[in-house]
Amino acid sequence: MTETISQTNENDTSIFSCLHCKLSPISKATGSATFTLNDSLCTCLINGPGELRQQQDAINRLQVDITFQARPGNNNTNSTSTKDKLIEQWLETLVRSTVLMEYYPRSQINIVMYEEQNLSGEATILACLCNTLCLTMLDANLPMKYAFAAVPIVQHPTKGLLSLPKTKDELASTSYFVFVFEITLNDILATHASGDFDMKILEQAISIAQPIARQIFQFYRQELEKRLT
Amino acid sequence: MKELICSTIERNVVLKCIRDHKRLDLRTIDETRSINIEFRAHPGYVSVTLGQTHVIAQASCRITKPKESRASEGHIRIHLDMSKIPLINLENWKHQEFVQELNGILEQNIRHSNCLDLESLCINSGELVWSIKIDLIVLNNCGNILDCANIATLCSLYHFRLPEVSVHGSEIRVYSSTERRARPLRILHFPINVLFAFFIDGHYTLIDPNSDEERLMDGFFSISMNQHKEICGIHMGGKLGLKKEQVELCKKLAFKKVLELTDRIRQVVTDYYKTIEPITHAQPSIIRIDNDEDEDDDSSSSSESEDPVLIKPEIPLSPIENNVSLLLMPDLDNLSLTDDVSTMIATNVDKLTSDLENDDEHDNE
Repeated sequence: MTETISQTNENDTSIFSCLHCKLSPISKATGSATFTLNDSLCTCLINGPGELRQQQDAINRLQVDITFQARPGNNNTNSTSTKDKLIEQWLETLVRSTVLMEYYPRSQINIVMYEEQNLSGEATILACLCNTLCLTMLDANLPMKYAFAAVPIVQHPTKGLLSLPKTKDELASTSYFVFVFEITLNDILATHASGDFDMKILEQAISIAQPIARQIFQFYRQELEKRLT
Repeated sequence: MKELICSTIERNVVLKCIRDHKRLDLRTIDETRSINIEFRAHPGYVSVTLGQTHVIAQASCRITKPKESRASEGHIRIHLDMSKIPLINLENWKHQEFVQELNGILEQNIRHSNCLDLESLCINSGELVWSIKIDLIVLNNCGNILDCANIATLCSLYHFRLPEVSVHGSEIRVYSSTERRARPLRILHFPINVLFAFFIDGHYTLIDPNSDEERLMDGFFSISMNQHKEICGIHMGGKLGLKKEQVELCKKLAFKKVLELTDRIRQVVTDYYKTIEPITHAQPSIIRIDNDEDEDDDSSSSSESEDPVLIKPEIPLSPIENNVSLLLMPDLDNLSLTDDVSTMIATNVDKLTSDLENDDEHDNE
């Protein structure tokens, strides 16, 4: 029995060492957060709810406007690449399902996400973005149905399925999953997957990710408690 | 998104304080706010906070054709992006004008003062040169974006590492950071900008205004100097007329600030590379026994342990590296070796070097 207890303690501490966060780094925004997941760092800020522009039409709900700014200097123009636009759309679906849109008719919120550091591949940065977004919305006190947390899982050729992978593991992996869980029933809100896998591996990955999501929610709680005490 | 309108009461309170030579945040009239400089694992990426004003800068490089008139000089370009912050002065065109004004001042300070040795950016005279671009993004505007952006630009330039290039006849070969250590840019001097805000017909002056003070100022006077007391740029903005004595006083005040900041910038970047250098390069430079934590950057410490790399590992060339290493005479449109590509290559090998370190870590655990 003591063995299992010490095992869970190890898991707890190892996850919390991968996660760091800072709430409200940007004073003029309604809500903002900086979140670190292993080697990826993201900052997000929310402004709103505010006035709608004349062209936009949102009579009885909130208009959500997300901008994702990848690290500048990648492309020669300043416009967002198609990959980044996909990320924006994916995050927008998350926001739409989470925020109680009916509370703010004829208003809009502007969300800006900055990717500051990304040494590993796609999985960690996507998960980092989702978690930053959730923390920012919590920091801005937007009315949400639930909080959500994203867990990256990679399929390493020799080590099998790894959650919250370190940089070298992620770069060696062939396929990855990102699962976004919500806090009330620990159900899946959104998924993103890439690579070669079958249903069995997918289900295995989900079962690995669920307890980790619970620990990330614990982390959110700790951070918000720190702010309120 | 617009900023809140400044109310009459706020205006009166701030102006009254200024008349009494006091400031709401308890600073003296010649005191700047505290500056915090942080680097990330990507070379050339810096995040600077001046009080609450937050600017991030990223330097990137490209290989391009030089200008005909200056065949052996590289290029440097600065782009300031303030599109994500609430509109200053409440109207889009006024905001854009302000952005362009600041961009112009930054370009004047950095490019026209020759702080970066452009000839050192030359690869093949008349044909290929490096073109450096600095992208500045303002995250939070709490007054004095200009100084903050200037510090961010200088830190970013000093922090950036340019890949090594060798020329073989008509072919050039760009080395990744593992084959040959990327070299720093040649910076000749640091032109530091100091902004003075003037109030009430130019009678009262403040250094480093915060957002309330900046909204109410008549105009600003920005002076850019280096530590050798050379003036690199002067700019007056707003509705302002100054006497000669006022300008002389500003110069004296600015010089004091410039000395402190130049030392600070040099120190911060050198410290960062002292903690990073022995670890990220395959060639062992220094064998360190003490465990120095990298205090600037929490996130990179997980991938770089404190154990030194003592043996140069056998690094097999990945297919990506093979394609990029030997570049034929370019179609210049396709030849865009931004910082990201070398980072991409570096991560492949970082993974191998950190293999060794993480193995050591596991052994230690």
